[in-house]
Amino acid sequence: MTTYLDLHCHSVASDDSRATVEQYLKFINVLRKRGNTVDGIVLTEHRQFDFDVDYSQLAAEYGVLVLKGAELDTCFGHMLVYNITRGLAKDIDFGDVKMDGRELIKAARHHGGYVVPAHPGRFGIGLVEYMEQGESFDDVSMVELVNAGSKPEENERAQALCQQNGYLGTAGSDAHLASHIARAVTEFKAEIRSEPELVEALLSGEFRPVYLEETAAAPVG
Amino acid sequence: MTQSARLYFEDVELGDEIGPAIVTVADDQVVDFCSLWGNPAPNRFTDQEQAEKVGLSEPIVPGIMSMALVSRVLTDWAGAGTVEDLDLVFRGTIPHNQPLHVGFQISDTDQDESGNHIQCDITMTGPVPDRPYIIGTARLNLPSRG
Repeated sequence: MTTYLDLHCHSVASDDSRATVEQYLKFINVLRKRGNTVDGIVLTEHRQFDFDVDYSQLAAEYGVLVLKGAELDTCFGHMLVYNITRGLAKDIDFGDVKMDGRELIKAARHHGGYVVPAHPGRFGIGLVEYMEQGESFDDVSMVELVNAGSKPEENERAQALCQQNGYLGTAGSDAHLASHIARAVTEFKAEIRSEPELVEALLSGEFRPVYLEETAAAPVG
Repeated sequence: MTQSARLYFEDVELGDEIGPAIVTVADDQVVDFCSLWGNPAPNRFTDQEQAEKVGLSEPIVPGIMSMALVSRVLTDWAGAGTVEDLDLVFRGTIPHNQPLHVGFQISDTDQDESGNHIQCDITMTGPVPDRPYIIGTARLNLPSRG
């Protein structure tokens, strides 16, 4: 069983996105008709998490898994958070753009979630910048290696970061428009149906980042 | 991208890519635009010194001029009077005298009593595929053959 998930995208709930969740799901079906394999998305809205919003009906209508996470601003750049619980939301102020990234990583693990630093090679705001300034991150073992919204040289910096530190790498589109969805996805060697299963799959290390084009010949299921 | 004789709702499909149209904004076009707009030169859009005073490395294309440019590319493709809404997010400053690549992709279609609507995703980049200067969407109302 292989699962292809876009681990990083933003709907209109994020102030700088112009795509609704339904438009993403419609567009994924266009990609499928073209021969690509995309099983689902993780919505990672900026600086927020809505426990009440439920996309299960839309997901069933379009046959696309829809999971929820968040992209939070920290003093060490943006971080993607998966399997957000009420306990984590109680301990961490998601709107605090200067929160301590290391504390976020620890708190997420404590509450059963997982944090992946986003676009680490991005100039000015990526994890690479902070590591070059002497910061170290003992609790980081994977980063977003491929961000389809980053410049090629920024993804190359992320690649070098992974090679130098032995980090694993995920992928996501960082889509803010419907047509940008799934330009990069993470290929998991497991079936994923929920946020806890996503964290389990990340912890297994059995995944790799791929561009959409690489899913064209992927076997279904 | 060339001027459309007449574009119909049935001519487009979800996922269709249009363009990119390649346009360049010359210094004197910005001066003319600012004059018509009521913001005469010299200003940060036309003058190096004025630009540096507000922290820019060079004069930039005004945002409202970029919106006009995108509108023109859309109506060149789909026909006058078709654009119902244009919603752009500026992610970078837009330079003068450089090729600007304006591309569209159809991201939604729907028909109701008010018309035959398509939504286009919009990106404006420099010549190298890179993070865009602008992203956004436009909603158009097209005639139907039916």
